Amino acid sequence: MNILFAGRLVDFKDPVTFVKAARLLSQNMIEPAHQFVIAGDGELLEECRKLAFGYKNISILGWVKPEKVDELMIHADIFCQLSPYENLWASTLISAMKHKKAIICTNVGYTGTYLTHKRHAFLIPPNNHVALAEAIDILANDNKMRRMLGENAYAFVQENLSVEKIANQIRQLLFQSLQARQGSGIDRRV
Amino acid sequence: MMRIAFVVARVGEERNVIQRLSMVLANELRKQGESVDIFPFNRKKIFSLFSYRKFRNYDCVLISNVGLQCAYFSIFKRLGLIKKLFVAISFGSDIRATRSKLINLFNRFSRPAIDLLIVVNPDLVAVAKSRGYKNVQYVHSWASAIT
Repeated sequence: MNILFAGRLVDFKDPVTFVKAARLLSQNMIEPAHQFVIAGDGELLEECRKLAFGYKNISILGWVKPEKVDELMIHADIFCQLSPYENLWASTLISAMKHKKAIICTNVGYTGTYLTHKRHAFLIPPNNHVALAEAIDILANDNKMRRMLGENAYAFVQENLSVEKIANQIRQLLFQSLQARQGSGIDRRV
Repeated sequence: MMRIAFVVARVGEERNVIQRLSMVLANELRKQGESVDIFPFNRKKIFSLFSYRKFRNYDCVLISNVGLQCAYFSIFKRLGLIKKLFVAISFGSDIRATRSKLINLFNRFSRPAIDLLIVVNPDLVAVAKSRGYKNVQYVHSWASAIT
């Protein structure tokens, strides 16, 4: 299995939990079952590198071009989005949803309001590498659930996150605000 | 048809997601019949004292992110030199980083000038309101268009 983390390597994204889970799933194994990939840079890059030192199945790539992230996403089986604060709407999360990936996501902020556990994503508590390792294990052994999560996440993006729909909402907001100003007589030329 | 002046910083910087999202939004608004002109912003622009005049023929000034660009044009708005609808889109980093003195300063300048703050993450409604923004509206992120 290819397990991917992509994003800035900062507290807000919590890459450290990802590396700790990767270590947990790789310890005492001659041939580790999973490949773990981290793409991104940030202040926690060095800490992640230190934690991953000696584990050949954990790759830390640093910053990569968006096209490369796309390529990594295509080859990933499971994508992890692990913010301890808020996951919505990280572009990497949306990309994983668009690519029909099985997503493991921390249940923080508004994540659970929009993404349902075991429907759109596998939701876990934040800062918990043991829970993440367990979730990876469950999904790695459940083809059907991985596929179902990916399909549902993709459908969510199609239904709710299209630029046409959102741009139209923004247009309406601007139009209403303009009308309100015209109504109150404060709209003038510069 | 609305005439929108869209101020965007770091235009063309590959690593900057916000400018990419802004360009996508501008294109989509045009497709939907609005007139949108991009006004690229960089730090040198702050020495241009009459830059607000170019908004004369627009209905609305839309600013991507509550950063330096928003703080800069907010001054003109607060001085009464820009009288157009003044709208900012927050992508999060600009109002979440409460420990950054620079961001706090930008927010302090911008807050009274902004007529409408559009946020693209649901948690940002509470964040923005706690920072004193009054008219805050949430829309989903359109990042699916660039991934």
